Amino acid sequence: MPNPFDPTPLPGPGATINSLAPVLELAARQRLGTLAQTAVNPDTGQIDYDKYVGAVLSDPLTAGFAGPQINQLRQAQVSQAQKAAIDQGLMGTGYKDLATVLYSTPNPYELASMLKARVASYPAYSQQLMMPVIGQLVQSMLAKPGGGMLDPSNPNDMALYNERRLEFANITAANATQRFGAFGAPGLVAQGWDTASSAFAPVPGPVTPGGAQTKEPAYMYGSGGQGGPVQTTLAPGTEQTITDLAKNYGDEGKKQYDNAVNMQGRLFTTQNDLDQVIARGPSFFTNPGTAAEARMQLGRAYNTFLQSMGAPEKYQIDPAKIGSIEELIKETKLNGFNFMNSMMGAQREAASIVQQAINSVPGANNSPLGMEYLINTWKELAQRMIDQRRFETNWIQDPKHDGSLIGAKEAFDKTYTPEAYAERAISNTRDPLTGQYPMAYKVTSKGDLGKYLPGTIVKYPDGRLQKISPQYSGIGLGPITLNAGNP
Amino acid sequence: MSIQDVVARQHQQNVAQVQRSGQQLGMSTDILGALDKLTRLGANVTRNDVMESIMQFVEAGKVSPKQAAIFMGQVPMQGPALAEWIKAKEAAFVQQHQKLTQAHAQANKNMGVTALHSLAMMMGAPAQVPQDNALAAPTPNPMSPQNA
Repeated sequence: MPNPFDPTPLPGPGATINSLAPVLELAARQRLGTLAQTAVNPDTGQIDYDKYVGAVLSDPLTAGFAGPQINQLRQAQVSQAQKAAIDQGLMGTGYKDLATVLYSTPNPYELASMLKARVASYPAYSQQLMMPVIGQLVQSMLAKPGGGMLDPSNPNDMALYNERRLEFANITAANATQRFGAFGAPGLVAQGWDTASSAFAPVPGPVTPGGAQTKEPAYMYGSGGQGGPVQTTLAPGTEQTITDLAKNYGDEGKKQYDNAVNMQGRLFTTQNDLDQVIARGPSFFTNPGTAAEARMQLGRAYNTFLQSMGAPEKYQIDPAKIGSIEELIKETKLNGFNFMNSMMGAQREAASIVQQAINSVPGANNSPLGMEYLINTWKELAQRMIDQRRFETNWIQDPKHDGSLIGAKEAFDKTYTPEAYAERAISNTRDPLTGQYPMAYKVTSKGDLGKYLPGTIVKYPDGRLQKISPQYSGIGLGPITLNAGNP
Repeated sequence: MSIQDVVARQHQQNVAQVQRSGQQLGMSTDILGALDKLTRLGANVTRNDVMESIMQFVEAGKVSPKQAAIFMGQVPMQGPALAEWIKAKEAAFVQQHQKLTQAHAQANKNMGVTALHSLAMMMGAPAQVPQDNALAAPTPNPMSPQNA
């Protein structure tokens, strides 16, 4: 029996393990290398940390050493994430600079020089890397779809250039916004950004023929070659307004325009359904008007009852008539949801609001005349949105406006008033039962025609009805060609 | 892989795609031009005319002699049938040309978008100048007594 007081006992289990530790650690290290290789993501060539940690924890050789190993991995992950965050922030500065150049360069000839001027202050090595990319960006913006380059003297080419320019400007502005909050907003100042100077930082002034650089730094576009100091920055409020309006033109404005075009298509279908119902002749069960759906359902139930009794078909209510009004009712509901979506966006709305939206659009519960009137009103509402878009597109391309939409909305509203569109809707309302236009405007002289939009229907003193042609209308002679209203 | 690497790689792919689609579009334009000339000859067109056209492509190195031979094997012998065949070919090429035009426009746009991201990245974080002496610096030897 061993003496418990022996000062030199045999090694116990703990000591045995301790003596084996270096061997186990060596084996674990070798195993870690193998596991790291198997955890490499073939797409990125980098170690997939989650996969690696899972493998380290589940392998009996390495599990005992996983603690410090995981700690090291997590630190590497954190530092990589921090680096990415810094990169993201730095990229935001670049996006902001690019958006500034794109928003303020409506002249395609100047795009390349503006971009080059923007990067002129960078180290030569950086510039060497940037120049080919600038060339590729300019090529992308100036390339004609069928090959060749856009012709700045061709208005269609210019329109395409401006479309691309605004789209790219919006992309960069959105990226800057994502990294800094509102682009050019006071939030930037709070983060240490001087909005005005960083967004419109002066670039080196133009070089005179003698080779000397003018003292005043000039923003290349808009200097006009005139002597004296030139404006190098915009007031922060103005800059913000230009940016907001351009963003709205590219995002909300385009969406609204698309919705308006779709709305006109759907109204055409509704109008067609109404014409079909009227053409099939009057019937208590299928006439549009009060409780149209209930009456239609009654008619359908009546037909089903007769069929079950084996009654001859001639006693049934014309199934085609029921089909037409059914189609119209379906269209009514669909329009309600679609219009609500167009006007209010795709949020969740209370049932009462949905019902109100459905009631406000032309549908089977309206009398035929009322429905005609509502269809026309909605068509004109859509037409005004389309006209406004055309007006703004022309406005932004006009060199006088320097690519800014400031004042466009006010100018449009002043000339193309909502009242003028409403008048055209009212005058074009045809009674489907009689084919007459009971709400045509009475005129007594040619001078009266000037206050209406082209396409408005007027009634002369001798009773003749006339749709006003563009040359007699006082409206529509501005920068857009208005269509002549609903046929 | 850093953000810079991902963006740069994507941009390089897009630039290559633009070059490829541009070449295809150029080739398609040339073929359409040649077919248009042949169509103008109407019923008077002969196999020799077709042969001359395709030889121009061979001489320019745009079509291999083998491809030209295969193509000529499909060309009908008779005048009116040949004219109809050329018309049908032209119609098919017009459709293909439209698709190529769209694809090229899309490739151009993609290149522009990745150019924006690349530039934003470079403008935000200017590249570090590679230090020549960094490469020349000796790699520390882990076995040396100083590093032990």
